[in-house]
Amino acid sequence: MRLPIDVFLYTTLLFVIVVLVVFYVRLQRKFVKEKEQRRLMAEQTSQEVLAAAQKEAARMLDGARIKAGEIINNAQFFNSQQTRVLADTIEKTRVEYQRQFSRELDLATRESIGAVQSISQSINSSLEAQQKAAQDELSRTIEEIKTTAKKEALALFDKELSEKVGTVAREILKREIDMNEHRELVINSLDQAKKDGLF
Amino acid sequence: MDYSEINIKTTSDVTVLRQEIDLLLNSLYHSDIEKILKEKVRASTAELIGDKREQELNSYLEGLLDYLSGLPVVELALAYEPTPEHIAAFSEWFRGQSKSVILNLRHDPSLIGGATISANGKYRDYSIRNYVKTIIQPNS
Repeated sequence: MRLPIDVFLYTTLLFVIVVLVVFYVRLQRKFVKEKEQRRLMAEQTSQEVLAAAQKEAARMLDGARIKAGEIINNAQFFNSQQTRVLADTIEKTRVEYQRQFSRELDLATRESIGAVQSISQSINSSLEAQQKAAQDELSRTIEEIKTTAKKEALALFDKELSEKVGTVAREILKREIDMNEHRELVINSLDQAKKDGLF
Repeated sequence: MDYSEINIKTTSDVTVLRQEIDLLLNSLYHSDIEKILKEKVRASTAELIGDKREQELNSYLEGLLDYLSGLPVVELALAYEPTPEHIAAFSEWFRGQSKSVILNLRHDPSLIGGATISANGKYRDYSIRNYVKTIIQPNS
């Protein structure tokens, strides 16, 4: 018995549709799974950036604080009042900036995750043929975000902290130093210059 | 002649003294030299000249110009504008080292305190600004 041609055509068409649907569903699952993996990778990377940056900032701040203490204690031209004022000011500024820095870095990290996620979404809508190239781009982007965010955050933090502490110290010391102390500071400078073989 | 006792501290002092020397050199053989000594130069300069006249005065002034040209200049940038007494103290510091120098003073409030010093082609920063910079940028 031969099937009528139209029944054969409909059956074949139905079969093709079923195959396409199955293929589409599998493809979608694959995309969703990969999207989730990328999101987790981006989050992990951002967390690493945050942790590394905070560790670096803490190291830098501690180093600056210790160095500040040494220099202040060793600087003969500061009297005890000036030493205390300067040390307090630097400590207050350090604590305040550490707090601000952590907040800004946290925000920057969240923005980085958002940026990576949006890239991931755009990849999801592209064709499978572009997947490999997009994957490479994603890796590169994550690496760039990681490097740039860390460098920029640390550089900005360093610059702002330096400027702030410098400004505060300058203003305080300007008020603290009277004419006779200025004179003594210059004489001390001349003594030191002589020791350094300037004349 | 010994010029080491002449009271010259800064480049401004040198400028004024040079103007007076030029004026005197141009009037050496003129009759108005006495009037110039009384009215156009400072008492301290007239005192240096004393009763030297004509050839003797010419030699003295030429020698003084050479002496001034040979004095080393120390550039001193300060955070504040020093009083005459302070300038005298700085100058005296050099005399205490048996050195005659001319101070070229500059006012730079950004130094906060202390000084930057340039001498003999060398430069050093002994300012508080530099100390603060060292505190907040330990690796720079």
